[in-house]
Amino acid sequence: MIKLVQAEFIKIFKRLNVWVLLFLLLFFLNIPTLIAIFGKFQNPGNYYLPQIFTTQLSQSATTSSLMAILVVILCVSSIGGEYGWGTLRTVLVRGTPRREFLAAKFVATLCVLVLWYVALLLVSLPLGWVVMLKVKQEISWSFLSISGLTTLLERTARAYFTVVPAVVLGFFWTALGRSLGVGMGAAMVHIVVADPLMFGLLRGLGGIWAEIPRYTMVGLGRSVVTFGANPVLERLLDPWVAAMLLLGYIVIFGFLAFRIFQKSDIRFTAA
Amino acid sequence: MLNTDTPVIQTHGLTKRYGDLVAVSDLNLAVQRGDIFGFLGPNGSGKTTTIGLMLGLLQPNEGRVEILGKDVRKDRAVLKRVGAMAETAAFYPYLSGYDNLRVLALMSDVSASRIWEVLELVGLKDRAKTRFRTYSLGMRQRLGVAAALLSDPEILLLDEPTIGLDPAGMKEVRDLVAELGRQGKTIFFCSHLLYEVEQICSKVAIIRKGKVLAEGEISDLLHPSRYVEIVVADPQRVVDILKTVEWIQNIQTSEKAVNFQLTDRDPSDVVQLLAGYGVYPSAVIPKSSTLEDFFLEVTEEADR
Repeated sequence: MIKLVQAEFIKIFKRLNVWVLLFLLLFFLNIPTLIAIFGKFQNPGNYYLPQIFTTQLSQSATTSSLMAILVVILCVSSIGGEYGWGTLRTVLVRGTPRREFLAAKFVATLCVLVLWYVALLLVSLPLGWVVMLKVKQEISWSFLSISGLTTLLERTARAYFTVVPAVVLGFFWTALGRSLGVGMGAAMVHIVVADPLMFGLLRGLGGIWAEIPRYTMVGLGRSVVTFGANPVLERLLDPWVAAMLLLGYIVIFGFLAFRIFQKSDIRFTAA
Repeated sequence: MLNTDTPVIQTHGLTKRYGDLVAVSDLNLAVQRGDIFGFLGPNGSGKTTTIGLMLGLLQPNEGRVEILGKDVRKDRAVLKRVGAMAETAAFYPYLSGYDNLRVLALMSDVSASRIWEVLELVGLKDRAKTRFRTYSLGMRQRLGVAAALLSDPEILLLDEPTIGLDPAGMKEVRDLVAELGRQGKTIFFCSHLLYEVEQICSKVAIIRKGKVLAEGEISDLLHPSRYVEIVVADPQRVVDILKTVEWIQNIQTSEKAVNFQLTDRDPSDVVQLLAGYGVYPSAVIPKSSTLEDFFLEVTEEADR
């Protein structure tokens, strides 16, 4: 299994699109920070140290965020590319169990996601510093204490957890569609259109309907990340309950992805 | 432990359907250890589907495949003892030839030195660090062969390994396959190039529309006196005579000719038999002197 993950790392880190996606992530999530540095910003406090970490983590969290979209692109191209190039048959004819192959991809994608979060926090550190220098705020390094770092780690873990369903959905739809195009289209519609649309529409209807959005992936994600910009509004369920329900989504779609991948034919397409 | 008489590749009533299309129908094949087994058929006959079923890439609707005595669907680990090149060589286009093999080597627990060995064997050592997407079709096929040989497997399943190669490259691959056969490896060799199969294979099966039309040792199938055509004025009378002896099989007639297969006699015996009934053919033609003739004969018969 470790060697399979190693093989996945070779495939992932030698691929240009992984680095392009990371650049896009860092660039787009830091546009407000750059505005705070170079222009006039209404509320620069969100980009002071250490508040900038919380701002970035809450922006990156939930299944419909930029982070989730880029993660879907990463994992769908990881498995969808194998269908498109025909490499799936090249690797599976070597006796590699399908579930181990998919599990290795899953683990490798989650590792890349960790690196993306580390990169996001590392880039936020100097940018937050620059924002504070610009507005002549005194920097307090108290967040580098044990309790400060523990809080940061906990928030990062919570934000990270809310994006994991996007990874599972990416694998599920690609395994079902057996192609990059179908997987990408279906996963994007699911996380960018269907889930947020249901969340918004039902919430707008009010009454009993307004209860349902709590249980969508978007609703659960927002409940888990209660440290967001407006936690009172966003908090829909107890974070632990929401986390358990989100775990349920991960298990169900994960199980289906593995089951479908295990049973489906690997068609012979032109390389 | 596998008995030495047990086929190393065996299919039992293997059937694969795609909707109404039957790609492989009740296929029963047996490949013995050390065989270089040619699997021949026109395009769309079911060769690649059969390979896909053997490698566990496709799920059969009925039947099963056993490799080294193990059902490939239940025990995929047996495929670690098989090297395969299924259809056109497919690799990660953004990785070099070496990195592509490194990925596969990690999956098969193969050392880095073995990667260089197989790259040298297929003549790609100098281009090992070049990205796969820049490779010519011939180089891609060579890398496919290298990948199949990477784990030094007991069995090789090769699907059209010489496709896209220039004549010199085709000869190199043929020589390599023949050499691997001499080393005792079992090779299942799919091709539609009949002369290629005739040169390197000891046994052959011909498949058409998912069904095996003929199977056996090439030397038996191509025995010049086994298949005979006789030209006569009254084919029906001849058929009636030929049916009286058990050493004549597969009798088929056309307007002026009768085709049949001899089991253990010569064409001269047929002439003698007919003469006994006062029938004298205007021509007696031994058939199928090449695999191509034989192939066309059996596939055309199947089309009738």
